[in-house]
Amino acid sequence: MKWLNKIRTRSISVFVVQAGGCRDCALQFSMALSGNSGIKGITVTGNPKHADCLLICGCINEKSREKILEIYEKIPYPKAVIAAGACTCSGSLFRRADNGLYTAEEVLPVNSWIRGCTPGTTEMLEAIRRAMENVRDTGH
Amino acid sequence: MPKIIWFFAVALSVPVIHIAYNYINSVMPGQSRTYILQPVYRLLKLFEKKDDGDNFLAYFFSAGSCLFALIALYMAVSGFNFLFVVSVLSMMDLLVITGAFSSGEYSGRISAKRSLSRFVIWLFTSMVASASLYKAAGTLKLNEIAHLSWSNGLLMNIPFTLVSLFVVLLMKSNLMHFDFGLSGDETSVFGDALYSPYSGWSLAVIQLAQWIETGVWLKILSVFLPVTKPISYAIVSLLYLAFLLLDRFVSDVDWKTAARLSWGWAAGFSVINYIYLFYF
Repeated sequence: MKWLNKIRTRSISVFVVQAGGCRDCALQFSMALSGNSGIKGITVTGNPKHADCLLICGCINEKSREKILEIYEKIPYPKAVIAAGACTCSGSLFRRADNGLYTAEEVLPVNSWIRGCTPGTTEMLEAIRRAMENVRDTGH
Repeated sequence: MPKIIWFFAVALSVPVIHIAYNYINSVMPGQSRTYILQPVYRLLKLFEKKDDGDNFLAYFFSAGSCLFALIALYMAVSGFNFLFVVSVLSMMDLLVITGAFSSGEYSGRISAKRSLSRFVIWLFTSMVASASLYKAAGTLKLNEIAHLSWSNGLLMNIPFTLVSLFVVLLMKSNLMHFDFGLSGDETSVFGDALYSPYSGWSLAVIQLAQWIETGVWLKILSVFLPVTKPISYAIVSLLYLAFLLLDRFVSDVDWKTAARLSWGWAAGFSVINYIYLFYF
């Protein structure tokens, strides 16, 4: 339903996971929220049961992978997963690290990728909004 | 007829307060930009979301708590006995706590433990406050108390009781230093987020119940002010909005500190007023 989709995109609660790395993507997301990008309705929550989408920042290792899966299970449907930054999307500089590195796609079904080190603020918000718009279509 | 009007006015006033809070908060520098009706959008969105699996108990306890909140609201606007209203609110709180216990999840149990400590404090405060009220007014019926406040200036005898009941409102709304961290929205260490069994539909019903309960406490507090009913309700609502905004500037405390402060400010103040009324 169109109106339901509209409501869903007007109140998006994001659970941010800092999986490892420099933490710049998570900080960039905080800046994006307080900026003047014109995209409204996105807030951060610390409770996975209140969340609509999971924003993964940083490189995912063996330890953080388990936590990410645990958090993903707790988020009620419909939900979206967004991979933010080069580390999450492809491993970036840490690609050959020996502590069991994963890309976000290897861990969860990703709805949206935001590439770049560090990704732009508007791109982050736009990706979250679009992911929530299409979340029903993708079945996640 | 006025009862019905009051019932809907109080039930709608709390979402309006939250919409006003959300608007003021979103225009402040450094805050997330939100829509004016974002609290309502959030509620509608939660109704659309699905709970984990077949969580019948979460549905049962959330629906039960909302029903008790509605009954308490009806009793409060009809001017029933203060203790009756408190007993219905305690049933509501107990249902939420039982729901959290029944989840079988670690965080649900922690949440229930904190709720239980808050429950003991606010129930003790309410009982001592009712004893003071009975001593000062000779009745516990809210409509008679409202009349006495208007004609006899009842507030002069029970100022600390009013403060303690306002602190109960702050405790129930998770505000200031009386926040027990039950909403699960507090910033936490990675992976340690506190959550309860409520999500999606059942969370939306719990949210509704909490709004109605806040309305009940606002209505109870408004009977003590020596002005007409609508004006006193507006004054208490504005005060509540002010504390909602003030909460943004107050640092969080851990739940044990919140419990200690609640014992001091809520239970302690009501006991002080009780002693004052009986011995001076």
